Amino acid sequence: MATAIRTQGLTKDYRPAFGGRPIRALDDLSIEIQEGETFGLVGPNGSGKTTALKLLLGLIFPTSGRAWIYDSDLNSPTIKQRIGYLPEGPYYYPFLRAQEMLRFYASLFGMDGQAAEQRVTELLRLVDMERWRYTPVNECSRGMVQRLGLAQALINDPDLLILDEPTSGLDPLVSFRIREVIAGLKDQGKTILMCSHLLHEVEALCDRIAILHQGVVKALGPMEELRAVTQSPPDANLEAVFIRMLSEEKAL
Amino acid sequence: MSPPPVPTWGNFVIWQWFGWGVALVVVMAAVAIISHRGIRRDLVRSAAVTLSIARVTVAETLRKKVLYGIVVFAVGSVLAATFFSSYEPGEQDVVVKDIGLTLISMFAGLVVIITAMFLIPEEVERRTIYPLLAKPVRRSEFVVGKFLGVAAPVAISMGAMLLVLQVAMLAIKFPAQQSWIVMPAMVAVGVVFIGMLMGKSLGVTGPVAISLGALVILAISALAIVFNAWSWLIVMAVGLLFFAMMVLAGVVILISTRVSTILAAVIGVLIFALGFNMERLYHLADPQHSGGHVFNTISLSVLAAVLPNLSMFDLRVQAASPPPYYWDQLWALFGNGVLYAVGYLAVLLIAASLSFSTREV
Repeated sequence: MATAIRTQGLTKDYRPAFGGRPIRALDDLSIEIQEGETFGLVGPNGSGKTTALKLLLGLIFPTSGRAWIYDSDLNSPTIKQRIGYLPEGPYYYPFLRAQEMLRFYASLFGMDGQAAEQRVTELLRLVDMERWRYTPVNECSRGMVQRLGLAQALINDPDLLILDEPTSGLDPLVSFRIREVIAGLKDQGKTILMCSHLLHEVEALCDRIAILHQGVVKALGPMEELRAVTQSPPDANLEAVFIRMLSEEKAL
Repeated sequence: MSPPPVPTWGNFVIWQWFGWGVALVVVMAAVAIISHRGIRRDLVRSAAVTLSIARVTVAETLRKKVLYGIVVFAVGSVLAATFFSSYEPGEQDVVVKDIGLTLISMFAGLVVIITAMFLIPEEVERRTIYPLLAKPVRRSEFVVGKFLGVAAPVAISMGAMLLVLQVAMLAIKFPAQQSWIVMPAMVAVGVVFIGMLMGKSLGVTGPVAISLGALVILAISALAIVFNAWSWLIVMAVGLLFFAMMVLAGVVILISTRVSTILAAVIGVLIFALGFNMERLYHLADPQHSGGHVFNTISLSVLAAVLPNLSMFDLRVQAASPPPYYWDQLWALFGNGVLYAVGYLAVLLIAASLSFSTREV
């Protein structure tokens, strides 16, 4: 199986605006995510999850180390043709209507006319937003915007999906619907990298999970391996494993 | 009237050569497009992406009410200038053209600075840039798209001001009917203003009010053509001024890739003020006038060489002078200005793209 994402010693330091010691947000991240795999990044606030995603998308640059997507440079438009990204917040143009927003993102992939129209309708249906296709983004609820966000991430029918907190802050019904869509994508064989605070969601969806703490990967593997590393009981869920691991860290 | 002076200003020649250089690159790119399929595909993709970003930027900019406020105030001021009646009949024409073009350059400058200063910082601040740069969009395409997105609103606002200046010229040509010409135009401007501010509460949408107002002004300015009061020289002067505004937009966008919006605006205002007074800077940079201090001479010379010479785009003197007009010389001035703008803009946009490509968002 081919490698979708590979990072080698990926490290990121942030320099404070007014001098002082740099803050290490991500330390020596070396992972490989195979095609068709669903990979979860979990960790407390400030553990470096979003930093890792931003590095992979070329939004920020590493202090040291490197990363490859499908063995290519991250900033190549050809590679980005194969990626879909759902950011954590509702970071979309507020004045565009739902369908205008999706058509805009479609145009960035060279889709126009009938093909774009068809894809937009298809995605609006997938995320249950067809009724609100003429509603401006700034009049949509948080859940509606998040569903639109998922639709824009899927506009190019990507091979690799990068999802940052896909269901955070949403009501149970919308969360369930989004989880359902992600599970469907997994079944289609898409590669998915997601980070989330909702551990049950990560546990249910991901084949392998990395636990990040203070920028460092503390454990990585399928649930069974994580349980073994933390000497957790066989029926322990990810939340129990996670708390056990961080408690041990604190004790040290 | 003596023929207008042939341009010999300071850094003019350097940038004119840049203009020719850019023209050469465009020709080479055209050859590459025709001959290489891969490059052709990438350039077509790049152009489509850039235009998509420009379209969204235009849609966003046209929603900024403050811009309508500036344009309405500007056109109102141009119309009000026709009521200066203390001049001799021949003088009034000169004064209104001069005041009109000065107001257009000032307000267009304001429109450019207010729009361009927010373009990139706002995208970064509200993080709309995240999903955008995660798509197959190069940072250079983003910067150029943003720049093109400023060009359209600036062209529209300058077009509106140009039409109103032609209305003013019509009013001056027929002093007895002045009120009949100016008042409906003023009312149209008022309709735009009220529609913009209170459109929703009056049950009229902003675009409807703006279209109505624009139609009235368009109709009256069309009368200027019918009654031979239309000045093509003013059209040329405003057209050339548009290129000055694009250079200013390029400068503000370049600066805003690195600094805050406020600092970008302050520097934009300084460039505007200095750019239209470059001859004074060249004069000061001359060792004879810089007090003999080496530091003064060098620093002023560097400024004179680097800053955009916006006075190249200023046809106020020619436009306000009575005929005969030496059109061949005026076209030479226009052509040189356009080449200068193209060269300068190419450098600015390349610098802005490079600067933004190393910025973390």
